[in-house]
Amino acid sequence: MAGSLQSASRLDGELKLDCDVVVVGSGAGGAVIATTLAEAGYDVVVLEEGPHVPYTGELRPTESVRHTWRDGAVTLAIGLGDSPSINVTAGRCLGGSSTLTGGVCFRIPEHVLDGWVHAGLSELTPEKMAPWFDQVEQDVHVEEVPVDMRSRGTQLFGEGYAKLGAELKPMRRNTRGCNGCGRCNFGCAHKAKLSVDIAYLPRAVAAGARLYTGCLVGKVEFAGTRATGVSGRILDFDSQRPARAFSVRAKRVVLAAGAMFNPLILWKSGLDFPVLGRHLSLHPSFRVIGRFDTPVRGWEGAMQSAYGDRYERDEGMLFNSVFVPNGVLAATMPGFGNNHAKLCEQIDHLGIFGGMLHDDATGRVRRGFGREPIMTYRSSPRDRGRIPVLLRRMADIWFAAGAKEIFLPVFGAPAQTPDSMKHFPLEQVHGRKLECSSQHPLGTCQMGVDPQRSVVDDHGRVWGTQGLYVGCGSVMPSSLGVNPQLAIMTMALRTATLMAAEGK
Amino acid sequence: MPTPVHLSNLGPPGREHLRLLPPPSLADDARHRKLTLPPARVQRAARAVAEALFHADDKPADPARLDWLAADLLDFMARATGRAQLILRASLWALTWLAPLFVFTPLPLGWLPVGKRVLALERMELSPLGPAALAVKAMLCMIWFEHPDTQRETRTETSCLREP
Ligand SMILES: Cc1cc2nc3c(=O)[nH]c(=O)nc-3n(C[C@H](O)[C@H](O)[C@H](O)COP(=O)(O)OP(=O)(O)OC[C@H]3O[C@@H](n4cnc5c(N)ncnc54)[C@H](O)[C@@H]3O)c2cc1C
Ligand code: SF4
Repeated sequence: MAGSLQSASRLDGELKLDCDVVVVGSGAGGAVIATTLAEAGYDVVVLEEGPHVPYTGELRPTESVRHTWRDGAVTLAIGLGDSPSINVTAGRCLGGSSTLTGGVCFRIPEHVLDGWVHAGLSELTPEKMAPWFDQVEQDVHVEEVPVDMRSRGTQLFGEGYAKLGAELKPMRRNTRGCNGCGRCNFGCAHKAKLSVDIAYLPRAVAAGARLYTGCLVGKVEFAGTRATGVSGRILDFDSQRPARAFSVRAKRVVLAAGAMFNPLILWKSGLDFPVLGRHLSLHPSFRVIGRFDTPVRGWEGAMQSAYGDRYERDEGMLFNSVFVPNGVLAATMPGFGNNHAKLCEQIDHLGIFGGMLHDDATGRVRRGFGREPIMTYRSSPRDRGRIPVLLRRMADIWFAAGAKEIFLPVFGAPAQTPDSMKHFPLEQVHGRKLECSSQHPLGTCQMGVDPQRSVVDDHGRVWGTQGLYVGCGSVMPSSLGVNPQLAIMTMALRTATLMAAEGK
Repeated sequence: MPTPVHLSNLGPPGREHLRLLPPPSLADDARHRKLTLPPARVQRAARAVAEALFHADDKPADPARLDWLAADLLDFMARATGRAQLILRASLWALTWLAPLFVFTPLPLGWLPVGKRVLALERMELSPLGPAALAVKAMLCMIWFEHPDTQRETRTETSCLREP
């Protein structure tokens, strides 16, 4: 029997459900788990806090942000000491952050998997993971972005990179029929980006899963150490504030609320582990902008079409092509009034590229006031030292490409020429002045082999409990160094398949 | 001849025959939430910053566009969940009350002439309080550049690389 999709906020009366498996969160991890188990014959309920906004691609970018991004995109991981504060973005809608991606799909690099195997996760070898990756890539239609879909900004960065002796590689993305409108982060009007609300959730519903939006899960219910379901509050449709209570009884519970929220749910459920909420990895990212004499119109092209991994393996730095709305470019220009306006006249002459650090996972999620967590981030000395190196490399590449000036992600800093850049005291800039963002919160409920150093075992089962699993980005045993959605979906597929094999 | 299937109507890869998730009914559509807007003084404070931010070529920005911008920022604040409203209002408060201190004028920002406002905001941006200004500046810029007139003036109209 086909399942359903309903907004709980609009239901009359009590919401009390029974099912085989309840999945909390409908993002990259939750959607894959729900689909796999529903197709394996399980009665699945998915609970999602956010709304269903399938038309997000037709909205203005800021409209899309107000409807589908968590916290209006202003969430911060507070930088401690000399670390930058990091703007962490995530989705809050059906499909979760998967709906906001640039479509980038990377497999977990072999050297990262080797590290996990070395730490005892012996089933996660590159060979054993390959079939899971193959399956997910087929499910979400991963394809290489053709070179002719690169924006001019990406082409220029590529030319500079080539002059310094390296070559950009074509990105692989989960798309079908992409037109290159460069606005993937705000939804795709052409439904060319195959986020999980398109690639998986329709399958889940066809296989009988029941999806509810507007359900904020508070905690897991237990009988002894066995999980028996979840409870929480239905959000009032207009105010989005928690209102009526709901409960779902289930034989098994899967938490897939993402790395920022899973620890909160576990704490509220009375569980704690030495590393719960710790080892938050963010892949701190920085944008460097190049200004050219001729128009660039960087928004014309696939938003993320190429990458440079020359420094990934040894130094943990990845260059990713990106584009941001012109208004965000304008916001990064220093000044107000005339000074700002003069710089903004050049917006169609700007190219932009991102640089991302494979970090040491030194962030932390803590209990906050109300329903949002507090995140802190203290960069390791190694990570902190690599920031100026990364930025100087990106500046060199833009200059090699012919940029007249570059804009560094340093608050209030004026444009730099090749000459002024030599003297710019980047190494002395305090972390507080660095503009840094992250789209990849990972690893606050790490997978491992020791309950003292991890939260779940290699099947995704929460230590010391029965029937409770974690299946989203929070289980990553370490930082990945590459964009994580494919890794999350793949680990989720593996967890769900192992759950199905355990039988009802 | 078979009816051409638009790619955007296809179901999941490998299950192209499946229907995509249905759109929400009017009653469930997030666009139709009844909002409680922040007070009018927040809109006035946002407009005061925007007047300085978009004061170009020594000319004031188009008042109708500024009104639209300030109203849309309020809509953003009312809709965005979590701490967004709190953070944007705190940032706006800092710009309104702390920026004027950088030009030694202990008055709300909106009471200053636009030239002095620009100076105050630029000085604050360069100070350690700079990041506090960013949330509001970013949001005002994002919305401003979504206005068709701004896009025309700055040659940033949205366009795809390929025709759909
Ligand atoms: C702007 C942006 C661009 C990105 N681009 C890329 C990219 O190009 N490539 C890539 O690989 N990755 C990208 N990512 C990262 C990727 O989207 C995420 O890593 C991935 O989606 C995380 O999956 P998840 O299942 O852990 O969490 P999410 O996908 O975030 O899903 C968690 C879901 O749980 C819900 N939830 C949270 N708490 C509760 C609760 N208490 N009750 C009910 N529901 C709850 C949330 O609303 C959310 O829908 C991007 C992320 C962003 C924000
Ligand atoms: S670049 Fe492609 S995938 Fe991204 S929004 Fe445009 S059409 Fe969709």
